[in-house]
Amino acid sequence: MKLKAGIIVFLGTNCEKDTKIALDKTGFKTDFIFHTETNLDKYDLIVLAGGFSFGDYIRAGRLAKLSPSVFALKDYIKHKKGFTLGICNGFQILTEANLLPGVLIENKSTKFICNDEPLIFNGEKITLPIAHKEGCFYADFDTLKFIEEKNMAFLKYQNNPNGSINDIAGLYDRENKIMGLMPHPERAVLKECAPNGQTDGIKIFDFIKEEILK
Amino acid sequence: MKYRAKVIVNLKDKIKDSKGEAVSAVLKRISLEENANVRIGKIFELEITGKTAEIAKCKLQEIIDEVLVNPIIETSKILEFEPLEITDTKNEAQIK
Repeated sequence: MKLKAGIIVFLGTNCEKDTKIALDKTGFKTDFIFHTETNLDKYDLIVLAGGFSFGDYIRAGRLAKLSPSVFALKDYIKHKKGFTLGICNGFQILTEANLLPGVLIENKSTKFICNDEPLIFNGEKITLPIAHKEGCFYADFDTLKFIEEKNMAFLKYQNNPNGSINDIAGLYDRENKIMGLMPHPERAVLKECAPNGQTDGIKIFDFIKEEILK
Repeated sequence: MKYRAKVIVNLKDKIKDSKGEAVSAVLKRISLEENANVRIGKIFELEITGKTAEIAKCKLQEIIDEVLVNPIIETSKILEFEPLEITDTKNEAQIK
């Protein structure tokens, strides 16, 4: 039987279709869920896709964290119903909702960066596209210590394009199965649009699948 | 009772404020201020209802904590908090 994935669509989410294609290709049966949904229990994976939820008003992810679906997501996580993935704006929402530690602030260069970035994923060199203006990961000393102790920084930049502390590009809370990352793995799944035809995004989705099936 | 509040939200000092730095650099270039150390924040103006000023202020604080501010990187200050004057629209229309 196929694993079930649900992509929460907020007002302003714009990567949901790419994410669905990527999830379907990696063997999930994927639904779109409107952000007002209050029960997510039937899914093995909940994805917060990229985009500009609620126009990024106040700050990225700040208003989305108050959506009924995010309150439902907290319940879903608390009762260990499945895996949570936040990509780009989804990662920002997860940090704003205190589901992952730290915060994403404006890139050090102040510029919107749209690039194919070399990364280290669980010790392996991969390339994924990034596209963000508020992707500079920041955390205070104690939080960083906590991140390192729990071995949460599963994805790191090789060339740190945005000023992220400790080169952090993504976090994974193994205990609660919550993953957030700024790069877009869903844009590196189809050969035609992946950086240099390198479909490294599949490695991220395959890893998630393995974690769900563990 | 309705109150009108003005809240300022700023980045903490240790957080790099790139926009502020850009403005400081321009002030320096046009020789208006050598080291202005500009910090750019956001101002929110909003209306709050509450039976008493105290209740409304509590509500405002909750709004600040839950919605307006990320405490890891930002600080906030209530700049103004005052009762909203109730204007008699009927009377106003007559005067017009």
